[in-house]
Amino acid sequence: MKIVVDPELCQGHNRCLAYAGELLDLDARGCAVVLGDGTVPAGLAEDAQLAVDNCPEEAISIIESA
Amino acid sequence: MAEASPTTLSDYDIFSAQFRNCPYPTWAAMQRSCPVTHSDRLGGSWMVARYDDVRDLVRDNIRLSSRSTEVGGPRESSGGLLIPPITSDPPRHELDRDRLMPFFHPKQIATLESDIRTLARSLVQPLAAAGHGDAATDFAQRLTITVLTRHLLDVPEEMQPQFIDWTLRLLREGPLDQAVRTAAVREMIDYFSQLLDQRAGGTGDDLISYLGRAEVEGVPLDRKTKIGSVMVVMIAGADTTWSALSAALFHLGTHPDDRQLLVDRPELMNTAIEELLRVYAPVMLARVTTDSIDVHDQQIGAGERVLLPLGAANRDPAMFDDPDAVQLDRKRNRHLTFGSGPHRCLGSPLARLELRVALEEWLAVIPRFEVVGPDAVQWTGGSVRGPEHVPFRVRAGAGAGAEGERR
Repeated sequence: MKIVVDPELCQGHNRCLAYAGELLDLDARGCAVVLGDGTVPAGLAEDAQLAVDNCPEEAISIIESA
Repeated sequence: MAEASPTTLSDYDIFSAQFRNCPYPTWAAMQRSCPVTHSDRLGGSWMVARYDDVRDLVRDNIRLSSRSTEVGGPRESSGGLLIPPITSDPPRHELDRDRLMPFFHPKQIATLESDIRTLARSLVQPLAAAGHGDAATDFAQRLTITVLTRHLLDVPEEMQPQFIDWTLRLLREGPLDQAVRTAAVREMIDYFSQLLDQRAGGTGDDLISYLGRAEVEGVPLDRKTKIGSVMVVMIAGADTTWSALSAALFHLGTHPDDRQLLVDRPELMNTAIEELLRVYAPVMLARVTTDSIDVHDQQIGAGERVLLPLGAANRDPAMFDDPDAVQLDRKRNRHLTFGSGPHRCLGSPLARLELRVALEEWLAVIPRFEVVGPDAVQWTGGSVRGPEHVPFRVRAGAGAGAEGERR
């Protein structure tokens, strides 16, 4: 399972960081970027889903088969 | 039936006491049966209320221009008010926004936390000692304006009443009286123009000095953009934030269970802030169509004003479970309080920080309080909605002061 941020859609609301700060960081423009290759450890699956569910831009997705 | 009829909806008056104080029945009726409606008032406008419509239109900066962002009055020139990046369209918009980003990057904003905390504590302590006050004008307004004047613009504290006066004349009286609005704009332009001159060539790290030095491809940034980008901070950052904070305190002072929940479980603060931002979203945006658009089979011609009430989107039952219920632990909350798309509120990290720190400090010092006469409170209308006053008293009983002191 991986978390993915679409840099074209992200506008830097930072809602995802509040839930999935262990999976994401900020770039110079204040937009979200995934840490490492975005692999979501089993224990953080719900956090990752909350990052998706709170993004006003629908810029975050979760890829199950990875 | 108390439900607003389509006739009423088509004649909406966003400055009526009924709409200012409680717009929710109008928006709910629109969401059910009349998703797009028109009013001839204040120069004419269309309004949508469903989440999907507000979201799609607010993101569309091609067919909807931001050149005039006021909810009423002349559409075309907007009286010469240029406040980039809010009033910028592509391709200029990205440049105007990115220029301000260094001031509003979340990591930059986070450095202000301890100063804002000290400020919040210094404002709330005298209120606790007095036992009563106005959470809007004695606390929220002063906190917001002090952060802007002290930390972003570096202007004397004596200017604070003037800043509040300009904000109120421009945003509250302005749409109803163009002469008031024009005078306020002229005074602001003169004031910030002088400050830019005074700080020209300086090395200050305040926003005014920074914009004074700004260039575009080696050429100094034009003066109108410099002035406008200073004004935007005040226009977009003042009564929006103080309205959200005032509304949050109004809510906690009228809902003792929620107030106690936050006192007992401070770990809920982050979801609580997002929930309070959702239900009391202060901003109604305005755009002007560049081309004719079709919304639910309603043709809206080019050059028309479209109102996008973010607070309506946030209470759409198609998007939120039980949307009128305030659930401080709501975890799935894709609210649009700071907009969506390229014009996302640049100051949102600062607004969130101020809200969190202000509520933490307020509840630490005044954990028990109640709003006095909540039904008499008037809410502001137009582009920014919030309670004009939040008269409160500290509640006696199981140790208001004692709880504050123990911490």
